[in-house]
Amino acid sequence: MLGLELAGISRSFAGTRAVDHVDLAVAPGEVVCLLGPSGCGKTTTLRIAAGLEAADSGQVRIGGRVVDGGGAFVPPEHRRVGLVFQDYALFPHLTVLDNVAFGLPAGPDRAGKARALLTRVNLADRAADHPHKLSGGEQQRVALARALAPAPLLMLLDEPFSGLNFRLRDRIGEESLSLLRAAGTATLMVTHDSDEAMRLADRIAVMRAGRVVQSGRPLDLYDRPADLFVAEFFSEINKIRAVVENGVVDTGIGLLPATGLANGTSVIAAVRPEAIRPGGSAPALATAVHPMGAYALVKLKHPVRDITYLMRVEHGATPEVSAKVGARVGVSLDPRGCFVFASEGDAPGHAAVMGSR
Amino acid sequence: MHLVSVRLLAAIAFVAGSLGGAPAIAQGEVNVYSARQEALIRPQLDAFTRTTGIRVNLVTASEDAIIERMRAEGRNSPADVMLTVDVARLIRATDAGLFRPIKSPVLEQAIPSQYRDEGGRWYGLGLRARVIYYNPDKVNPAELSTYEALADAKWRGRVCIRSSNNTYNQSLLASLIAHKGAAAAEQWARGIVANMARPPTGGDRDQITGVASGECDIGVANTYYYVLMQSGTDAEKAAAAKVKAFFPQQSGGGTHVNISGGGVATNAPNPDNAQKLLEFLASAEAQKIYAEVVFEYPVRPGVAVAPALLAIGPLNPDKLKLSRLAAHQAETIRIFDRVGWK
Amino acid sequence: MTSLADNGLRIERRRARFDGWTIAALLIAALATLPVAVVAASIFVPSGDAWSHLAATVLFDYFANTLWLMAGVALLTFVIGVSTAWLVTMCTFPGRRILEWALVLPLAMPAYAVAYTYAEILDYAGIVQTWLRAAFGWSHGDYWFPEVRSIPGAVLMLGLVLYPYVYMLARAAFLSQSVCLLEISRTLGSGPWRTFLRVGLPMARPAIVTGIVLALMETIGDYGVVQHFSVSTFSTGIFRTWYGLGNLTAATQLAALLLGVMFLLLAVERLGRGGAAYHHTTTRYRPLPAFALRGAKAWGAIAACIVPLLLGFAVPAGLLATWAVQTAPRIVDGGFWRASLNSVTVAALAAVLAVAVALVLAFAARMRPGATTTWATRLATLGYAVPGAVVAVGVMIPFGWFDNTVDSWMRDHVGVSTGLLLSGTLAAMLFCYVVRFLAISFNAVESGLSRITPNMDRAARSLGAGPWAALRRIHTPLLRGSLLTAAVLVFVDTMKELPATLILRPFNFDTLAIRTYELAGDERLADASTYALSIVLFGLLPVILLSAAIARSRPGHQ
Repeated sequence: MLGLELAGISRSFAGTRAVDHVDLAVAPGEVVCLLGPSGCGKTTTLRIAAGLEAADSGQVRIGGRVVDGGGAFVPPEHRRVGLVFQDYALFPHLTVLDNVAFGLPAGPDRAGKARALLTRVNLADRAADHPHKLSGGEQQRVALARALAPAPLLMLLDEPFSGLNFRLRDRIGEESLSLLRAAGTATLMVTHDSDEAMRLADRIAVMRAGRVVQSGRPLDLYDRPADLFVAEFFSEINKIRAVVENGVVDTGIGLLPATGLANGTSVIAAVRPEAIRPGGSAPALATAVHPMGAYALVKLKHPVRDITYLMRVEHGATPEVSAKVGARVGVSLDPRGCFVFASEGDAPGHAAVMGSR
Repeated sequence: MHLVSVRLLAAIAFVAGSLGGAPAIAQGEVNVYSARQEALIRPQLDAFTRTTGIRVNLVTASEDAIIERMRAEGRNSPADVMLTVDVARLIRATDAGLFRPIKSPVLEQAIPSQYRDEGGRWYGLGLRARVIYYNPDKVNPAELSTYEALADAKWRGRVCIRSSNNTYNQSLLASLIAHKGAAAAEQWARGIVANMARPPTGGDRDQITGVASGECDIGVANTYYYVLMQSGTDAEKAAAAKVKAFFPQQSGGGTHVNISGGGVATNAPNPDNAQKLLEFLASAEAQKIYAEVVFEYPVRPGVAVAPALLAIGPLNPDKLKLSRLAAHQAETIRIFDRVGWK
Repeated sequence: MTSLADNGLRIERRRARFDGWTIAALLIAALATLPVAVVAASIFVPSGDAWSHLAATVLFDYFANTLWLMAGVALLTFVIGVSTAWLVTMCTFPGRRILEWALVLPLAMPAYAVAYTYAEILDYAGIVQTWLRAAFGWSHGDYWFPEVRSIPGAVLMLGLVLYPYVYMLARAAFLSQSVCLLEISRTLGSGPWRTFLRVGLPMARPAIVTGIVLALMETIGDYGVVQHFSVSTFSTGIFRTWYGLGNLTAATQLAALLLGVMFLLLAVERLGRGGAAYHHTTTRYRPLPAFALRGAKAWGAIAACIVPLLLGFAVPAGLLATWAVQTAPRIVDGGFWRASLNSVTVAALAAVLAVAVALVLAFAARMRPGATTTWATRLATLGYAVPGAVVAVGVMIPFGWFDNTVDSWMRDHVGVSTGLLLSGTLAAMLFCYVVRFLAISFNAVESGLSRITPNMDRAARSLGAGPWAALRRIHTPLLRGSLLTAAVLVFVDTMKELPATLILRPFNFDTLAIRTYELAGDERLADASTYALSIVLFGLLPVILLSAAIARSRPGHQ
């Protein structure tokens, strides 16, 4: 496979493992998102791919060529990678056109190529301006055009859209990535925004503490999270501490199968808000409703036990539920949005406090 | 309105005063503006204070800067006495109206008339001679005679002499103009430029070291630098030992001399003390200091020349009335510029 | 509410053209320009036939030599200053931490003292050539040896003591530039060297140009080196015309011409920048990548940093020290300590004043950008390019006029003579120093301010801080490094300053520079060495403090 291949990459800083045996591959034309909270090692992974850091161990291949590992180290300028930073890092002393032409080899059609790229990002009319005259979205597009200009094998995007307001973010994100897919460029994008990853990525790799916890297609991750960390990264989630009894877990509003877990195991049941449905036999007390526009989040309380839940109802059902604040409602569980994980390293006695956020 | 102004001025005066510059106008003081360096004039001034009890306040700067300063300060200038080197500057200060004439039998008796202004506005206090130094291994003193002869083609590439920015050279050329006329002087300067061993560079001592090190065979420098080198660093002593001095005779007679001197300021707040100071500087006591500390030739007849100075040769000074040099000063620069004397 | 705010805005807009800031800038400019204007006004005074004489003989030489000198110093300070700044900022190699601050040491050396010592070393009669002749039995004419008393020699002397301006400003710029930009350049195919040339260097351009301009202004104003090396420049020409031709008017006209040249150079540079902005487009700071140099590369880097330090500082200071050891016991007396105290006091006062004035000026230019303040700042900082003696005359004449006018008025109306209020006081001296060194403090403050984005001003304003409060609460703390730089530079320059002190000082007021000059002028270099060395030593301490402060000034530095 061409594109980017990271095999067993590790990197430490001052004794701390920032990147710990990371394996990752990005095929040409594919967009992979490295998703994780800040400090998880995703940016370091990206920098290792770019050649801005060297890996302590492991191997980096770009376009099938080993660029790091086994004694070899190809400096960034010879890796054929493109890089876009969160703040775009446009060269303030150069015009827009010169920024885009920066990575192009000197030649008669250098300016022409740069101009063509600017046209592709709809900025041909700003060619002669200096970057500080441009809006954020325009700067982002210039940064992308600049990175694309030398036709890189691999494009590395470091939180590329987080400087934009969210409406612009969607549009520019999609435009940018379709441009990259069309060019057949392997793209690795670092982000901490799961919605963005979900929407833009072909595949997502979730990182935590230097390791890739799980990777796969967005929906696979959403529907089959490997652990609580992954599960709660993509949405708000109700966490209910419990113990496996008779092969099932009692969440207080329904039973969940505890597949593969022995009786007596302390577990955390993770229940996505949309997996709690209004209408059902389980009793709950509605304490508040937070309308979110297209949907609303309803705060529920277990009638006896000290557990609270968040339930998501669609816009159409909101008035009905709102009317019942302070009253009992009946709910049910959709098992497709519920997961049971053994609670790691928690003494059973600790589970006295039950409840979610 | 008046009140406000007075208070404002009082405030300004207070600030200025507290910043340390309030000029002394009190009795028992005399204020000296000197273009001579402090080290060369302090001993005489200290002796004056010891003798008379009059305190001396001193500020030193370059001659022309002092002239400009006295001009700018105008009638409020605190300067009582201005001391300087080089007769041209004394005359320039006179022309600028900065000196007042004083009538002093003491000064007239002490200082030969060729070294003072006829109007009593400035007085010479010390003499310096500009002489030739040669390398005895390469030059036979019999070959040496006058400054004019240094322009002879036989000295091609053998002469070390300072830049024409130097006052001593300017006055030397002025004396040649006075003796021979401008055309002959220019011819001479052209000859010297052709004979230079190197582009003019360094100070007087550098001309002497140039001879000592073999870079040139002939150097031109003032007498006291040579004497000072004899008591200087080891390197200077060694250089001085390799070189001999020759006192050139102008065809008009005598060796070119220049003076250091001074006058009483037109707006002097303490004119009596100023005159006392000048009279003291011309006294035998002060003249002795001129001779021994600065190695100048005393201007007052009868005061002994320093033994070290006497040892390098007897001085037979040019009889030219020095006030005549001033008229040619500006012309010297033009000649130097024309002949390309750097 | 709304109408009130609207009102306020309208008032501000109406007064914007002529408010406190603009007035402050204009006032400073007027005062600082006064001496220069006195000089420039000489253009309109007939100066006899001096010009036709100058034009026919030496003017071309003055022009050519001055331009050669400027070109050489610009090149040398650029090469030394930028390369050493880049090395110590971007690379690691043994000794880097020491070299980092040591590289500014030559700043404390008076250029004239360096020239004296090198003449002693490299002249025909100097140490090196004497040794060569003794060792190989050569005599005059047998061998070729470069002449130190020449234009290249003067370039070398001035370049060696002036490169720290470029070094300091370039290093500050490199330290504060975004690593992201350098990394982007790498991924776009430029290696480390090309990245330096295409991104690092151009990004630091305003700082580097400022450094070179400072060096050039000092070069133009230099009298000591060119005089000692007998190089005819505008500066020596000015004094020759004044002292020799006795024509102060023609001399000041030469100085005015020199100012014109300087102005032209500055204008050309501004033009070359075009519309480029140098505010940082990024706010992320990562530790600078330290390219670890080893082996031959490390030795090369060490050599590149040590050679200028050796030549610009160690060698001349060493020679001065060997002389001083012999003469110090005789030289160090009460007068020596009084001169030291005077030097330090005056330099400290000048530093504080020059920085305060520069701060107001730079802030005014920022608050009220526009042609008025731009011109005010350019005019106010011209004094640096004018030889000190000429500025001093420019101070002396109007001050004397003021004093005498006040005195006459008081005599006529109050019957009291006020005498000289300003002439011959420390106040006049300090005024002259500020005029002369405002360019230095202003440039340091301005380049510091330019690194604070205008958004911070806006944020401060939005939080209710007025411009003065913003200056005090936001800029001053953020600018601490720049202010310190400015103060130290002015301090050191004042310590070395000679002609203005000489001309304007009060009675019985000696400084170390004056003593050095008088003794050296009497060709007593060995005696002068103790004073010269003291100038270096007193200047050294703040220079070292400054260097340490710059190292700490990187944004995000913990």
